[in-house]
Amino acid sequence: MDAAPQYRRELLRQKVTQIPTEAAASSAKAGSEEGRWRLAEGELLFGGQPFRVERLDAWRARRFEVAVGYTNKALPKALLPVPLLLYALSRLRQDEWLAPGEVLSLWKMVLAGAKAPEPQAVCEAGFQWACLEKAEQEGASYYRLPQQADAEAASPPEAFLDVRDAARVRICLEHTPLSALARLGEISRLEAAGGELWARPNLLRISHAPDQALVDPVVCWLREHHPAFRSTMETLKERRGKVMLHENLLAARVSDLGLKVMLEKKFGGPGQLVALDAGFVAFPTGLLPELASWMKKSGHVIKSTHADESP
Amino acid sequence: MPMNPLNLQEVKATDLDVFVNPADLRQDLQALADYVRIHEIKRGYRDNRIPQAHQQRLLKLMSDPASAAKKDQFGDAKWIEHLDAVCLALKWVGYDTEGKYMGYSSSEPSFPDNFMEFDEGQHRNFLQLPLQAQEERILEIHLKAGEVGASEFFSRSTLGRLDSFPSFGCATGVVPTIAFWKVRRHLLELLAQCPVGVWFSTASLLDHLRLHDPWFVIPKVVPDAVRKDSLRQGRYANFVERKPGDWNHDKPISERDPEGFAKVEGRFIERFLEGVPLVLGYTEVAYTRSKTESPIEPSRGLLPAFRITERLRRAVRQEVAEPKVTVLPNFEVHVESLFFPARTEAQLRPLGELVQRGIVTVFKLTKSKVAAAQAAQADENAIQTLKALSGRELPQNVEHELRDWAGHSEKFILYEGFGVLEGRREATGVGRFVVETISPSFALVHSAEALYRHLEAAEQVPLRIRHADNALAAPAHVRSRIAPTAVPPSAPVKRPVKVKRSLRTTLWFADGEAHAAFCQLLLDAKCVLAADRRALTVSYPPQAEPQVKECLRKLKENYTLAVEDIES
Repeated sequence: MDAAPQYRRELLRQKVTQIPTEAAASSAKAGSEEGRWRLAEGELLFGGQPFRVERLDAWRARRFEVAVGYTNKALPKALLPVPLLLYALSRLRQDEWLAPGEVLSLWKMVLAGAKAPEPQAVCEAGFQWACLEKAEQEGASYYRLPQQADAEAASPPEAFLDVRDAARVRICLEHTPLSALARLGEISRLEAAGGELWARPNLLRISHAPDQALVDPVVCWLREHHPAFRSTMETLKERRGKVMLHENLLAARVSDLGLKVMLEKKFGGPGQLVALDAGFVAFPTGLLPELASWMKKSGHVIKSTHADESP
Repeated sequence: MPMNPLNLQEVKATDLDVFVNPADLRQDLQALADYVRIHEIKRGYRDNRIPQAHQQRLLKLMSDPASAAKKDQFGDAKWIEHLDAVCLALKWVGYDTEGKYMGYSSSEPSFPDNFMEFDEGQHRNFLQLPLQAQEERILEIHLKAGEVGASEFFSRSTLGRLDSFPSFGCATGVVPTIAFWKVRRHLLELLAQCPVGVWFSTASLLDHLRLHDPWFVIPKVVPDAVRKDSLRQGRYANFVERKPGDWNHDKPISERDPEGFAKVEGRFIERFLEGVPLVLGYTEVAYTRSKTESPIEPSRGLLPAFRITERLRRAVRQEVAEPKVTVLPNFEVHVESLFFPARTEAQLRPLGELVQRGIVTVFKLTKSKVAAAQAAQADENAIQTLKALSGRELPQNVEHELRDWAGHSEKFILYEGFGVLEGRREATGVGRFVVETISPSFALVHSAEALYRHLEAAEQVPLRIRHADNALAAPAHVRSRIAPTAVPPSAPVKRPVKVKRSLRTTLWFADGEAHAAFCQLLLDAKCVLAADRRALTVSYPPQAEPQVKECLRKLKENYTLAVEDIES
């Protein structure tokens, strides 16, 4: 194929650049949130859900289906025109393109008798919603799945993050890779001000972020180049793991030293009964029946205190 | 009304078949209550009875399992059914007794999902009653059960052997006007005058009643309403005698029959004696040993003797004494009571093992039970309980040991449903969640969810570790004293694959004749190698290299040979 491929990269970028205006306009939950941006307590929501790149892709695919506008309850979802076309395109090899006419045989086999849209129209709708790439040669159109949906995927952090403000970072939405935007949403509190989107470091969000988020190149770059992010992450590093709250375990106070030693000998082991300070022991809940049975056999009794009885 | 002195004829029961109720109804009622309390019992869909599986288990808990297991001609365990009915009347248990008709064609109700519910409050209230009041309640329920068709005239008693009058038409006539419960109470009061343990003739009792109290069942004057409206007019119009199998005969006993009293009231007395008083252990009865079939139904004169027990005398005279409890230095607790001491037993059972049951019931206090009781209920105090029951100080050694045993319950205190906070408690407001401070680094906390939110709000970056049921484990890279760090999954072990290698050299000939000549030379040299006549090749392993070289040298004698390596 000699013709240059065409792809509507601007569609996603336009959608992303709507964030500051749309989010500023609707901070409250609206009736229908499909395809809408919203900032709720510093969290970027898309369609009412925390923003992820996959959600944007899903929205694009949904718009594609709506644009085709074909429904048939008698057919399984996988056999509707859009999934059918995407399946056919997924079978193409590298550098292969598909002419709409080539799927006619498939069309006739699955959608026989139904007033299905023409393959050409479906392909064109896919192109319009940035779900397909198009190439034109000698007056004919050819399509394939997009090779790279995000044009800014390779942008370095310095190209889209403005760190001149010591307290927050300005996000240049025209050049921010979608994955980086999602990552920034995970670790910071976002705010829309002056038609721009800003990220402010948030200890809670960073602490909740998955481990791989903290080694993400964008996050690493921020730690290196922005004082507020750096200090927040250092605080996190300093505090993380210092306070632990253990749940779904049993604890007991054993006031008889001999009994405690016997229990440790009988039930001690990695992940089993463990001695704490001041005569206390902790053990997994599943160990209780065995422990209770042993206690009964050895002539001891268990006095229980339940959490719902405590003040 | 003053009663005439009872002067009954004493008899010997040596030639008779004596029957004594071996079971203690009061004890069995408690056993059933305890069973229902801990079991979920779904009653029969059709018959609304306790299912067989539960009945079998219940039988083992009865005071006399063998007699309780006896079934009537319909295969029903009547003792269990009787206990069930009494428990329901006492309101200890509740279940649907009405049922519902499942369709137009249903001839009787069904009982879907009819679960027995135990009323702890009603049972506790009963136990709180003095023994006399408990006995009165049980007696009252028995006296008031069985009116009209379920009365002694028309229904077999739980333990009785005697047959009954046919009940057809008993809803009209004189029977519905009889207050049977009053009749029964009256007879019990009469019987209570008899000396205890002496066999008396039933006939003499009947004579006494005929002479002194002939209207004890059926009133002297039958109400006018019965005379006018009922089809069954007359004093004995409800009672039909017939020969066995003579179903066509339905002529009632005549009012003018000189033996009418013996035939009707006499039969009632016999059946009464093997009814309520026998079930409650108030009477013991003696049957004739004759196996021959009675010429007239219902039978008459098959229960010629009876005697009363001390229980009847005390119950009627309201002399039921509270149990006498004595704690002995050997840790035995003796409970002396003619009637089953339900409340005392309920208090003593958690503290010791039952050693002997009877008029004197013996419990042996045990360390494990006392400690377990103390552990289960913090406000339980064995010493106070025993002092209150016996009404005196305990033997010193017993009191000393009980105090020691009570302390035994504090040796292992289990905290269920709490969380453990590990690390320095620097954030303010954490203290209100702490239940027990274990050390500066550990604390038992309640409301773990709320505490976690509190620590997050305080920017303490808390780590929440929810352990698995079977092992304590912290996530990778987390150092905890409670749980070992989970070992990160190691890289998958590479499966060893052994590959053998061999090197072969192939000579490619361009000329078929030369190839054939070379093959011939090889054969002459007795060197067998892989030769391909089509491809004109000869392949050989390194070991055959000297022989191949020798053959090539011989080939040079006839051909101009040049060997060229293809790879190079």
